[in-house]
Amino acid sequence: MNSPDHLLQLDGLKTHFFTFDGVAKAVDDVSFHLSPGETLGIVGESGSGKSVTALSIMGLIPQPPGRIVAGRILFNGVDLTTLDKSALGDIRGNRISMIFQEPMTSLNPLFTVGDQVSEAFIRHRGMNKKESLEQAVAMLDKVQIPAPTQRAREYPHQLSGGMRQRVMIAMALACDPEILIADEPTTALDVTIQAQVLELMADLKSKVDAAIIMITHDLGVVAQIAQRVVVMYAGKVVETGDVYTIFEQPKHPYTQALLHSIPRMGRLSRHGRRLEEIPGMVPSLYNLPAGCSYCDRCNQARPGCRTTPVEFKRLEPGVGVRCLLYE
Amino acid sequence: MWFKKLKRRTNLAIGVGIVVLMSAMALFAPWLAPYHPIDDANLLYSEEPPGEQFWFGTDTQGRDILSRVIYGARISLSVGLISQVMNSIIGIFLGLTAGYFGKWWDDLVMGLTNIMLSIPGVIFALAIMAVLGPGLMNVFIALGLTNWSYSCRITRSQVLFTRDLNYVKAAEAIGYSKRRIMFTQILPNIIGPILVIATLGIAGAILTEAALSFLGLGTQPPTPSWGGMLAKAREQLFTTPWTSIFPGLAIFITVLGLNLLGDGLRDLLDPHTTVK
Amino acid sequence: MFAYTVRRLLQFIPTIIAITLIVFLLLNVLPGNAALMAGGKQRLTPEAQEKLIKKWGLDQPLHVRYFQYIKGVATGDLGVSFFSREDVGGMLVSRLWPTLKLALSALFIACLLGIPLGFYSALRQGTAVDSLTMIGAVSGVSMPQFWLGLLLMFLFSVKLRLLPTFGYGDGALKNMILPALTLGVGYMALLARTTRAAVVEVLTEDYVRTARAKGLSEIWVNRKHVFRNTLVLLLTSAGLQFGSLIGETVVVETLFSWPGIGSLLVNSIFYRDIPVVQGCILVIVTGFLIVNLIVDLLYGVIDPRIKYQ
Repeated sequence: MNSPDHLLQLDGLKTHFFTFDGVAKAVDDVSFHLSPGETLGIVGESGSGKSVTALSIMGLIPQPPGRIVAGRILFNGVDLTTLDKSALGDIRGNRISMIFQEPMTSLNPLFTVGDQVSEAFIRHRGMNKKESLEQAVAMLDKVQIPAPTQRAREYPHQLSGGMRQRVMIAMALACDPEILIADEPTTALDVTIQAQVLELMADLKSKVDAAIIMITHDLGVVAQIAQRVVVMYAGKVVETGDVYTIFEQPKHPYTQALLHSIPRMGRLSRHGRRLEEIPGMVPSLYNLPAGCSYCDRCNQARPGCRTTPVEFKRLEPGVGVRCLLYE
Repeated sequence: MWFKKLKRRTNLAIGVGIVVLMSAMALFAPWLAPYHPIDDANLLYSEEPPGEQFWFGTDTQGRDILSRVIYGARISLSVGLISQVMNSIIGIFLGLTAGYFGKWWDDLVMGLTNIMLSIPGVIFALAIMAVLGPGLMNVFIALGLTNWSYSCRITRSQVLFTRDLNYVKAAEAIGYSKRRIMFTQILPNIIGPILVIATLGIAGAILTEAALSFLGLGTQPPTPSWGGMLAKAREQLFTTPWTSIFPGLAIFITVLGLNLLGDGLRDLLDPHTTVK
Repeated sequence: MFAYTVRRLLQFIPTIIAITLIVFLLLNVLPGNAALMAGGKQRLTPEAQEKLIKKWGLDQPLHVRYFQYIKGVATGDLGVSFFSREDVGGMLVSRLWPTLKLALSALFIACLLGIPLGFYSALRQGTAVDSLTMIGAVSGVSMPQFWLGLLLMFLFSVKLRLLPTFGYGDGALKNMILPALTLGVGYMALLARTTRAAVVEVLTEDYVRTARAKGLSEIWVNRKHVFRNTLVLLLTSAGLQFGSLIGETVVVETLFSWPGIGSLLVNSIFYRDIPVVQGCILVIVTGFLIVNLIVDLLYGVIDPRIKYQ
C-alpha cells in the first residue's frame, strides 16, 4: 500500500545472514511507514531485528554474510534496495542519518572531534577544511556542548560519554537529514545522562524537521518521545499503533506481556505484586518455527499457533497486529 | 559458502598432513632411505646430479642426498620438539608461580621475561653456543632456554585473570587448595593458546637449528642435518648446485606445515560468529 | 606525553645494564675458557698462558672483572680481541655501517611491499587474491632465509651472471642487491601477515561503521580511518618483529660474506674470542633496544590517547 505522502515505507523487508551455522533470518517480513516529522518508536528485545532493520535502511549490512533478500525500502518513492553504492553514499549522513548505541567506541580515537563532525560537511556540502570546521563548531554549539571551539580541537577520549553522544547527534544532524535513526542511543549511558540526551533530542526535534526512528527496548523512552510504535519480535513486526493505543489497548500477547513487566512503584507494588517477566527466551534466528515465533512463551497460545503462518493484519489505519487471535 | 568452510579447514588439513608426513619420515628413516646417510659413501659416484640411481643426486663424498635429507628430518624434528617442550615447561612453571604467588617473585620473573624479550632469539642462542661450544647437544640446550617468555606471559595473564573471577574466589573461600584451583581452572584455559605457541615455537626452533647448523655451530659433519647440508652446498654452488635445493626444500615444507597447523589451531580457538 | 617519554627513557638504562650483566655472566662463567681464550691463535706453553692470564686479569674474581668491564664500556674501551689483538671498539665501528646499510635497505623493501600487500588483501578478504597473497606470505615466513639466499645466488650469480656472488666489494649497489633482497623478503612476508590481521581487526571497529554511516566513500574510510588506526596497531608489534630481522641479518651476512657485525659475531664465536663476542652482542642488543625505544616514542606521538593524558 503506497501512500504518496509517506516519507519512508518498508514493504516486506527480509534481511538474512548466511553463516557457518546456517541462515539467520534477522529480519523476516517487516513493513511499516514513517511520515515527515513524525517520531516512530521501534520496540523489541535483543535479537528482535530492530537494529538490522535500521542498518538495512542505511545500506550498512555487511555484505558477506548478510543480504537483503526481499522487500522494498521506499524513501520518497525511491527504492533504496535498488541503488548502487555511490547513490546510497549520497543519501547516508545527508538525508538519512543514524546514531549508534556505544558512544565510547563509535568515534575514531585518533582524530579530533571537530575533524570528525566536519567530515559530513566536506562530503555532502562540498565545503573546504576551514568552512567545514566552522560549521562543525556551530553544530557542537547546537547540541549544547559548552565551549564548542575548544571542544572541537579535543579528542574523543577527553570527552565524557554523554558528550560523545552529543557529538554523534551533531554529526548526524549536520546536513539537516529528513530521517534520523537512533539505535538505542541512551542504553549505554547512565540514567541522568540518559535524561539529558533525550531532552536534547526532544528539544532539537522542535527546531529541526527530521522524522525520528527511535529504536529501543525501553518502553519508558517510547512513552516519552514517540508518536507511533512498531513492536518487533524475532525478526517480524507483531504490532503497530499510535503510542496511546499501544499502551492502553495492546493487542498482541507479546505487547501485553511487555507492558505488564514494567516495574511499577507506589500503591500497586505495596499490594505484594511480584515483578512479572516473560518466561522463556527468544527462539534462535536459525531455527524459527513455521507459525508464530512467540507461541512458546505466549500465555494465550492455541494449538494451531506453532504451525500456521500468520500474516500481519491491518485493523485500522496505522494499527495492525500479527496474531491468530485476530484472524 | 561451502568454499569458505573448505578453506578454513584446508589450512589445518594441509598442516596436519605435512607434519604427519615429516614425522613419519623421521621415525621410519632407516626403512625409507635407500642408502645409509654416512656410511654409504662411494667416491666413484661423487657429485652426481639427480638421476635414476640417486634421486636427489650425491654430494662430494659420494653420499646419497635423498637419504641424508630423510635422516636429517630426525635431527630437525627432535630439536624442534624437545626444545619447545623445555621452553613450555619453563614458561608455564614461571608463569604459574609468578601469577599465583606474586610479589617479589612476580617482579623478578616479569623483569627476566622482559629482558629475554629484549634480546632477539637467535642472538641469545648464539651467545649460549659461544659459551658451550658447537655441537648438537648444545643446540638442544640453547634452544630450550630461548623461547620460554611467550608461554610464561600467557600463563601468567591467564592466572591473573582467573584469580579474579568470582567463582574462583568462591572456591578459595570454601577452601580448595591453590593447587587444585590451578589445575582445574587455569590449566584447561591455557592449553589452547599454549598449543598454538608451541606449534609455532617448534617451527621457529627448526629454523633456528637449521641456521645454527648452517653457521657451523650446530651439528657437525658427517651428521646429516638440513642446515649443515646447506652450508656445504654453499661452498659448492658452482659445481653441484642441486645440493642447495633439497635440504632447504625440506626445511621449507616442514616449517610451512607447522605454521599452517599453528594458524589453523589459532583460528579454531577463535571462532568467528557473524550474526548480530 | 612528557611523563611517558621520561618513563620510557628511564626504563632504558637499567635494561641495558641488566643486559650487560647477563651477557658478561653468560660468557665468562665457565672457568676453563680463560686458558683456551688467552692462547688465541698460537699454542702456548703453560707458563706463557699463565703470563697472559695474569696480564689480562682473567684470574680475578668474576665481579671484579665485571666492574672493570663496565668501567671500560663507559669510557669506550671494550677490550682487545683474544684472537687478533685488535681493539674491539675499533672493529665494531668499522663493521657498523655495512650492517646498517643492509638492515635499512631490507626494512625499506619490506615496508614498501609488505604493508600495501597486507592492506590490499584485508580489503578483499575471502577472494582469490587474498588467498594467494596469504599463501605467499606464509611461505615467505616459513622459508629459511639462507636457503632463499642460496637460490637467489645461484640464479643471479651463477646462472645469469648478473650480480656478484658475495662480498661487499667497494660498497657498490650491485653487491647489496642480493643480500638486501634475501633479508627483505622474509620480513616483507611477516609484515604482510601482520598488516592484514590489523586491518581486519580495525574494519570491525564501531568507528568505521560510524564513518560509513556518514556517507563517506569506502576509499575515504580506508585511506583515513582504517589506515591510521592500522598503523598504530602495527607499531605495537613492530618492536618485537624487528628482533627477528636482527637474527636473520646475522645469518644473511655470513652467507654473503658481508663485512658486518653479524658475521663478525659468528666468526668470533668460532674462535671463542669472548671480548669480541661480548662487544658484538652489546652493540646488537643496544641497537635493538634503541629501535624499540624509538618505536615506543613514535607511538606516543601518534596516538593522542597518550599525548593528551
